[in-house]
Amino acid sequence: MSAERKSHAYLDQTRRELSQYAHGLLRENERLRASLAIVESEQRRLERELKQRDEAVNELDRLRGRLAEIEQENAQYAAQYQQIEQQSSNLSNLYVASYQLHTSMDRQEILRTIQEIVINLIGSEEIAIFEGDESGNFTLASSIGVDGSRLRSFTLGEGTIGRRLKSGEVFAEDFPNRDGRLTACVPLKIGDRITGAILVFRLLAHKTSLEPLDHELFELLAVHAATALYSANLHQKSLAGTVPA
Amino acid sequence: MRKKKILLVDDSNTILMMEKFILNNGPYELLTASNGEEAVRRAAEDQPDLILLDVIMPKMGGFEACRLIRGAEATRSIPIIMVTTRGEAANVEAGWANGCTDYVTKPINSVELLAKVRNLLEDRLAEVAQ
Repeated sequence: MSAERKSHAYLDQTRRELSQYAHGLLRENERLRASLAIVESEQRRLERELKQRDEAVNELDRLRGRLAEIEQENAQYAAQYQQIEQQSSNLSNLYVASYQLHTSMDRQEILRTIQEIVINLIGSEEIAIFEGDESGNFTLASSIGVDGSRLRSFTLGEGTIGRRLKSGEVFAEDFPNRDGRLTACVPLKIGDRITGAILVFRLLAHKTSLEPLDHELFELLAVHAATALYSANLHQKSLAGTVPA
Repeated sequence: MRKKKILLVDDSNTILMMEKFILNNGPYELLTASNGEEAVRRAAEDQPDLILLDVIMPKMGGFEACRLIRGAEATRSIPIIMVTTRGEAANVEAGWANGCTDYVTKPINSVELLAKVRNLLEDRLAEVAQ
């Protein structure tokens, strides 16, 4: 073979090889472009998912915040509900006390009711109830848990109790000593006139202090126990014929 | 659903009225008795789901009534809450010894009483369901 033919054959061979190589490169390029498209698509999908996840995380954070708010609101409502229940109970106590005081015209029954109110609603089993006359002398009408002989009578404005009573105001020691000294002195009043007194000494062992409700009960007793006793006394006198019915 | 029956036992009208006020808003049928004897009789007749029992009463006191209610087959599983003016340990011990389930002290705290009543009635419901 001549040198020229050899050279032509070599060139043809090289051209074919180059052409094949170029085709190979083009195929590889196609494959890579397809892969790139897939990767780009996957990247977009992942970006979307990431965005969705971020949104979900944000939503979760928002919901967590809302849950905390709701829990706080719930706790507030529960506390308010308990407060309302307590207020309702307090009002019930006051209603029960006034109702019971006016269910009878019997003097002894009313004195018993006053004691029951102090024992059961205030919490003391050491009570003395006094009634006063026109000249300001007060005598023991009923007592429980106290030495009645020590507390038979007193005069308005004299002695510790007489002086306390003269002010016409309820005296109440919120944190009383447990030595049996006076815890409360409740004047029984009709208008400005002091017609009697309820003295409360030691509170029950488990009751350590007076509550706002106790003060309200004392104020209620000051008026309602006074009128109940006054009416019962009048009723008793009318029955006895000493006053017109 | 049947209302739960609660037997209130106290010789004081003030306390009975107070307890009625506290429990009236709940789904309860309230029965009353004014002494221990009546409480034992009504417990057997009416089969209440719960009894609130005062300690000091005429005819028969709360401790004795509690013991008799516990001793009778028909009433032995009824929960009993003793209502007492005395919260001292000895008094509370006497309540447990006579078979009470729980106790509250006077003056009655409505929130405390309601919580105890609800708890005991739920426990009883669970017992009956088992």
